[in-house]
Parts: sequence; structure tokens; C-alpha cells
Amino acid sequence: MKLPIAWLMDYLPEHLQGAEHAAEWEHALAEACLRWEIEPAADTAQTLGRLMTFAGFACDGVHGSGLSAVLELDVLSNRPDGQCILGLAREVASIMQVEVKVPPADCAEFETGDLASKQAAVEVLEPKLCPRYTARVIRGVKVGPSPEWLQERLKWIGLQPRNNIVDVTNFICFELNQPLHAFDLKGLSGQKIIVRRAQDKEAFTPLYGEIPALTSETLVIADAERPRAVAGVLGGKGSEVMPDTVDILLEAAYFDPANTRRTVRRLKVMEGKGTDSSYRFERGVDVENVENASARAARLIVQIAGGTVAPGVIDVWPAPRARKTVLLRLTELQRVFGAPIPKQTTMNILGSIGCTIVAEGAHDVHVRIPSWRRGDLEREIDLIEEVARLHGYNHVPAMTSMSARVPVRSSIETVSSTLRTQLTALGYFEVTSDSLIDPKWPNAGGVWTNDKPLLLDRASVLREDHSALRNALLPSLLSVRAHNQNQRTGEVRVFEIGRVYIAGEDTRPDEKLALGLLDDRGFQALADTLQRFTEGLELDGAHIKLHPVVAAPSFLKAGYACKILRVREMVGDERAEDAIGWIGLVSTALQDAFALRKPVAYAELDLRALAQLPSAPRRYSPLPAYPEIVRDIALVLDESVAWQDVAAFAHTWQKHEPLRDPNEAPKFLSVFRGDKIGAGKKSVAFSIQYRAANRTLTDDEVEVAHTKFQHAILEQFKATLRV
Amino acid sequence: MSLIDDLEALRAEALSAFSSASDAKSLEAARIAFLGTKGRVKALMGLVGKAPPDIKPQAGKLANQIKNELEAAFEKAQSATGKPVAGPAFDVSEPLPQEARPVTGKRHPLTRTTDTLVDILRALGFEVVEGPEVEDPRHNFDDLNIPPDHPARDGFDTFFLHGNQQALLRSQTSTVQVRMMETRLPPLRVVAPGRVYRPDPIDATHHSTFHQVEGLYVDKNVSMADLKGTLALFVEGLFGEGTQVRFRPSFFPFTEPSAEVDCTCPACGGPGCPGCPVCKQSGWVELGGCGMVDPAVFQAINHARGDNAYDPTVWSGFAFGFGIERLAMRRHGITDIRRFLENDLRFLKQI
Repeated sequence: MKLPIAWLMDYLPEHLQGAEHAAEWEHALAEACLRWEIEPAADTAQTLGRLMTFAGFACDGVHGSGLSAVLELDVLSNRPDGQCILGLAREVASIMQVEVKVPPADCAEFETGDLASKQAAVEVLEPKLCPRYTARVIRGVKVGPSPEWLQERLKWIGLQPRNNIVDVTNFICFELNQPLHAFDLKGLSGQKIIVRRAQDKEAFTPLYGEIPALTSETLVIADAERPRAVAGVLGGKGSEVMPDTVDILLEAAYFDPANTRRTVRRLKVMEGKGTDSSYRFERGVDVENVENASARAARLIVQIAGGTVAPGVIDVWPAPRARKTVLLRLTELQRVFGAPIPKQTTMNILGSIGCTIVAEGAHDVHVRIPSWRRGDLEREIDLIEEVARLHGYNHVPAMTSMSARVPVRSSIETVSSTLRTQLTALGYFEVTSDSLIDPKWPNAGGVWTNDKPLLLDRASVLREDHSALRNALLPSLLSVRAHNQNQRTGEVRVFEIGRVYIAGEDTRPDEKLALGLLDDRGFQALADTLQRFTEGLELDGAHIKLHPVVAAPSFLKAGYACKILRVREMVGDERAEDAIGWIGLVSTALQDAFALRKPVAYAELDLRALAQLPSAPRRYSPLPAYPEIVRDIALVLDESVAWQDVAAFAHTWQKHEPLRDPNEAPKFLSVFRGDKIGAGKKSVAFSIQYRAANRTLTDDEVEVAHTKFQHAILEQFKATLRV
Repeated sequence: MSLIDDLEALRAEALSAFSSASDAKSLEAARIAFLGTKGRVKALMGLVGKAPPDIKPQAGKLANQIKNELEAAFEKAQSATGKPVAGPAFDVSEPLPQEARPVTGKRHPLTRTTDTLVDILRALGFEVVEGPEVEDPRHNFDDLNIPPDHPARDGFDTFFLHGNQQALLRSQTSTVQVRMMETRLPPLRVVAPGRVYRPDPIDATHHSTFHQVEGLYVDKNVSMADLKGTLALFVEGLFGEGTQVRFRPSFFPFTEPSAEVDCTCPACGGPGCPGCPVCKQSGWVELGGCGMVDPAVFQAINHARGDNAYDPTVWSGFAFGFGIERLAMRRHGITDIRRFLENDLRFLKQI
């Protein structure tokens, strides 16, 4: 909202108005700054801007300076009364502790002839959507240019002057927050106004622009035959004020805010932003001031364009609602503000915004709110906010009585944080990608679901490439890979912790928290990471295991696809296993779909499932006091035997072998494949340590134990020793 | 002369030679004569090894002492002649070969900023909680006192799911306030970092997917003073001791009174300083929005719970919310919000 200082001055006391009182104006501003604890600016307009900002009307800019400046104010949506110059003048007057001057609104002196009700009729068929409708008849006007004072005021706020009648209606809209519409009386069939719903596809031509066909949801102002305006939104052709217009019917009304808003959005008026008029009706105008604004407009029209006003106003207002009286308790004010505000200060502030104190007790006041604030001052808390705001938020002390408290950390928080530390230490960069993806991306289905990603409602979507909700991190990370390939940023080793959205039975999808890892270095490097990244989680009686699958899901390459299992050790040697994700090489089809030149290894797992695994601080075991004896062993095995199974066997064996320290796992050394070993076979070398807790072992006794172990493992895996 | 005397004589002679050497060349000659591999010190040390047992320990000790002393004297003389002291025999700034050098990744800048905010709030007793991103209109609007067809919804335009008007992408993390109060009893002190969505055209300063941190505190007799005091502690944690906060009146449907909160500019130190580009010479930077929980929100919660657990005459509270991208952008001087979700490795390595 634009606030021209010169226009504002119209409503401030005379001793502050005009260039001859510039010093008084500056002085009054300086005093206000003192009260508000605000540093004045070099220029008075800037100073007023600061004051308005701290009163809740954020000043976004000042055009010009001093008395000719125009302030750009951000009026909050709960303050429809601030959408006009008089409303802003009330705020300024309150801040500066002066009286506001309300402009004259009486047109009785220009009234003559037949009663308005004899010359026109108003019928409101939808009183819910139009609680009040007034019409005045003005005859004998001469349409022409407006006087200088009126034209310049409109120009200050960026409006183009048109003719004296339209200019007055625009002026009142911005002066009093009451949009008006002037009809040419002779253009109204039957000199009749009917406020009704439109019929479906009823003919109507707006004054400017194009709108979709009307429906029965649209409230229109019709004459005896056809719609002449969309109520509160925009006028139509055929009844507008023309250069030869002589008699007018002046509409001033209150239209239902919600319905006005729906109409603007449905008809996409001014791309859904609406008009100056609809903008005000959406926020709510002062229903009690409707007739008053009409009288002021009539007065100005006759003064400027001549003519006479028909006595009496047609005022259809079947159910006026009484204004509320609200109780404000000083204890409650203090409870919210955090410091006492004296009763007299409180009453002064309330008085300065137009509230009337109807009764007062020792510690409370009963307040009648002004008509222009009935929308936002309804409850005690509303009054508290007003008093706090105008007392100044700078007077809120900064102190807190919060008790000390140590909040618990959820397992998800702990696990996410540990994994971030662990993975970045292993050289992975964290990425954060958009959950809104392009539905045209190849469906990476199969990670969590085979369904297609959920789509967003077309009406709310701005961009086609952000119109679906991802159901796996995979496509996001492939897109990150593709971006970095195109930008030639080098090797990619990344992870993301993010939500994926899986449609289910419920209204809302299941939001899984997934961990995705993408690694250029290949399957083995990523698999190695997966074996190690849980290190910091301190899993207790649980671990992660890769389980190769023969039938690879469509997003992974056959032969390089594994389920990621979480394994929970139960009583005895029992285990519970379930799959919590996938690891493998991305399938050729998907690699091609994202135009990736090289294969990439990928893993995705369910972080919540990982976080559910039991964990406990690692236990200390005393460091060995006697030296170890290491024995290397190389086994020729079938390809089908996995290292993790060999390691698990050795580990279990260890538990029952007195010469081995149960804390020392077998160490993988190398693997060899080739002609010397034979097809379908591999040679795996590893070392194991022998150690006794109470003495130094001899080679002989280790030889006995090791031979026993060799026999057992050879038999277990149908292996031979490589020599 | 005894070996001991020889050693003493050698010391005097060498010290004099080092101190009298006028240039690098003569100093080097002296070094070779005394400390070189075929120099006199080495020669005498050889004799010490063959010395009789009775004087050997004493002579050995003295010889070592003299050797060290002379080396020190030489270095001192050398630095006096301007020749650099011989350092390590390799370039200390030379990195390890690529394959031997360990790579370290980094957390995403949004994670780092979020962690910073959350760590401070945790120290203030706030527990980290989360809520769904796909919400229903009740949690996103109605229970937050945002009525349908109201201009207050202007700032909260929303993505709906296709064919499902009961599922939308939350437009603010305040939804988590509602969920927490629905399921827990007061007092409450929680912080909800998370992802939110608004159908804004994407440009350098706007994105349709972004992140917020929302704090909620409900207790008996919570006031605006507590809010200001808590945020004052928060900004001190974030930007350092002495950072101050101020409120500007604002409007949010779910808080009343509502305020925008600013803090003194972390770059220039606030008002009175000459000003800087960070705060555009105002001395203050915007942090986010805050306010006292509107009693209408408590009433909506009670209605949903079917009890009077959040009786507004007993309980009061405050809430605040910050945009994580904006804080991260200011922190790192990032000028394009799109970089965050683009994940260009050059950006991730640089920041």
C-alpha cells in the first residue's frame, strides 16, 4: 500500500500540515521516536517509515523525501483497515499521539427531488453473500476531467485519472477502504439492481480483460435483464459511466470476503490477483461505514461534477450485527507481555485506535471496538496484541524462566548423525536433492515399490519437471550423477539421507527415511563401505550382511545385485534376518536412461530399520598379555562360497577353541582367480591368530590347533588347501 | 697433552674459526675442516674410542658435548652469514600422491546449518522431533487457525496430491506443533527441522522445496519476555556473545502477538557500525518469525484431542521459525538458492 505523506496530511491536525509546519512535523516525529526507542533518520519520511515498521506496517521503501515522499507499506492480512489512507492516518495519529481528522461525509445539503427509492430499486437475493447493499441516485452530473487535487492524489498512488465520477469512486476506495461502483442509470434495465447468483454461462462482458463463463457460484449485480457486474470484483460493459452519462446509481456494499476470494480465483481475474476492489472485499471492508462512504462520494461528485442527490439512500441491510464489547484484564496483559503495562497507558493506547472504554474496574477494562476493526479485534488476546504493539515491542524485556532440561535424542537422530560422520570420513559427500521429481524420469521402481511415483495435483503444479513425489532416492542420485558428469566435476562418491514417499492404503503415503549411496568406484568399493559404515553405530548382537540374489530387480544389473540384510542374533546361535535395502550396479537400462557414460554402484536402505537395531557402548576387554602366533591359510573354494560365510565359520570356531582369542577376527588377505585354480573356483587367503591368555604359546601346540581348524574348514566348504 | 686437553683446544679453535668466518665460503671451509666427515672432530672422536678405560667415559662425554656445541655454533654462524639452515630434505608443502591421499567428504551445507541451529536449541532444552511432509488440510491449515478462503492463506499456497484433496505437501513446519500437542501433554519444548513446499516459481532466491526449523515451547506463564530471552540466548549461541534481538510486529494466523525477529548484524556488529553489505547498512538482519501461540490453536488442539489438556487459561507458549536456506546463504555468502538441491560437487567441496 502506498502512503503519500501529502495525502496523509489531510487527516492530521492542522498544526502539523504543510510546508510551513515542517519543523513541527519533524519535532513530533522525533518525540515519537523517543517514546518508541527508535533512532530517527535524516529524512522525515524515512523516520515515519521506521515508526510504521515498528508499529507493524513494514516500510519496504520510500520514494522521494520529506513532505512529498510516498511510503511503500506492507499491510498485514489481518489489517484490512490499513488498506486505505485514513486507516494509515489513524495508525500515524496513534503513534504520534494526535487526533485524526475524519473527512466530512454528509451530502444532505445537495439533496433534492424524488426519494431515491422512487427512482430505483434494489433487491438482494443472496443476503449471505451480500449482507449490505446501498444505492444512491445522483442526477444531472457533467462528466469531465477531475480537479487538480483529485488527479494528483490518484497519481501519487499510481492510478491513472479517468473522469470525475470514476476518479471519485477510486479516491473513496483508497481514502476509506470502501470500493464503490457507479452505474449509468439509463443503462440499468428497469432502473433496478438485483444481487443474485449468475446462471450457468450467462452472458457478461467485463469492462476489461477476459474471464471464463459465469457459473451459479458467481455473485453478480444484475439489472432487470442481465448481469452488469461481478459483485465486488469488476464491472461490465453497457452500464459504465460514459462521457454522456447524466444520471448515475452509486453502489456501496459489503460483499462476503470468502466468496469474493473464491470468485477471483475461479475467474482468474487479473491472473488470480483480483482488482483493487476485490482485494479489499476479500479482506473485509467496514460494514458500518458503507453508507457513510457512499454519502462522502456523493458529496464529492456533486461538488466536482454538479447535479443533485436524490434524498434518502436505498440501504438493504437485513441483519446488522452488533459490535462486540471485549474484556481486557491487566493480569492477562502482563501474562502475555511479560512486564506490567500501567492501566492508564493501556487505556490511552486503546483510545488512540478508536476503542471506547465502556466500563473499567481496578484491574480490567471493557472495550467497545471501532467498526473498522471488527474483523480482527474480537478476543482479549487481540486487544493484548494491540496494546503490546503500540506500547512497543522494544519494551518487551528479554528474560526467560525456562528450567534447565536435557532432551532425549531419538535413535534416528543418533544414527543419522553417526552415519554422516562415518560416511564423510570414508570420502563420501552428502547431497540433498529435491523430493519433487520429473514424472518423465524412468521409473526406478522396485527399490521400495513397483508403483509409479505419486503425482501432484495439476492445478497446483508450476513446473512439469517438479510434479511427482519420488518413491526412491535412486532417481535423484542418478540425476545428481548425470549433472556432475555434464559439469565434469570428477569422481562422484555421494550419499543422501532423505524421505521417499510410498503410496499405501492410507490417505497419506508412507514416508520412509532412506539412505542412498552412489559410488563411481564400483561395486566392491561400495560393498566395502557398507561393511564398515555401521562401525560407529555400536551395534550389539546385530550386524549387516549382503545377500546376493539371482533374480536381480530391474534397477540393478544381474550378477551384481544383493539384498542388504539386517541380522539380529537371538538366543543361542539363532538369527533373525530381514531385508532392509539393496546394493548393486545400476542396470544398463537405467544407466542409459540417465545418459551415464560409466556404470555406477548404488545402495539404498531403510534408515529407520537400521536405527531399530540394538546398540550398546562397546565393551572393553583387557589387552592381551602374551604374544600371538599368526597362521596364514589359503583355501581353494567354489565361487558360490562367500567370504562372509568363511569368516563367520572361522569366527564361530574361535569361540570353542581355547587357543584363540575370541576378540580377534580372521583377517582377509587376498583372493585369486585364474587358470591355476580352475574355472568356477577361487583361492581365498586369510590369517588367523592363536593366543593364550596366560602364557606364551609354543609352535607345536598351535600346529595341533591349526590342523584341527584346517580339517574343519575344508570339510565345511568342500575346499582344498592351496599349496 | 692429554686427550682431554686436545678436545678443549679443538673446541676453542673451532669456535674461533666459526665466529671469525666473514662469509659463507670461509664458514663452509671451517665446517669441512672441523665438522666434515674427514674433519678434526671426527678424527678426535676416533681417538676417544681407543682411549684407556680410566679416561674413556669422561672423554666420550666431553667429545659429544663439544660436537653438539660446535654444530650449534656453526648453525648460528651460518644464519648470521645469511645462508638458510638446511631444512628437511623434501618439500613440506608437497601433497601425497593422489592415490595415497585419503579423501574426506563433507556434510551438505543445509545439514551443517541445521545442525548448528539444532545444537543450540538442544542446549536450551529443546527436543528434536519430526512430522510428516505429506499432511492433511487440518494440520496444515485448520488447526493452525488458517481458515479456508481467507487471505491469510495467500502466503501458504500449497501443493496437493493428484486426486486427493486430503493430502498436501506441508507449507510450513508448524504442522509439527499441532502433531506434538495432539499426542503429548504440556509442558512441551520441541524443535522440528524439516522440509516444506510452496508452489513458488523457482529463481535465484526462491525454491518450491526448502527447509525450516520450528521451535515450540508450552508451559505455565510463558510470555513474550521468555520468547525474547530465549531468542536472545539463541542468537548469542549462533553469532556470539553480545548479539541482540529485536521484534517487529507481524501477523501469523497461529500466533498472537506475532513478530518478525531480527538480530544485530553478525558481520558488522550492529547499529553504530559503518554498515556492511550483509545488513545493507541497517545494522540488523532478519532471522525469521515468532509469536505467542494463539489461544485458537490451543482450542483446536483440545477439540482434536477431545479434552482440555491445553487449557489456554492455564498454559501459554511461544513458537518461532527460521528459514534454513536463508541462514545458510548468509553464512556462506551463497547468492543462488538453487545450488542447494543441485548438488554440483564443485559447490559441495567449496562450501
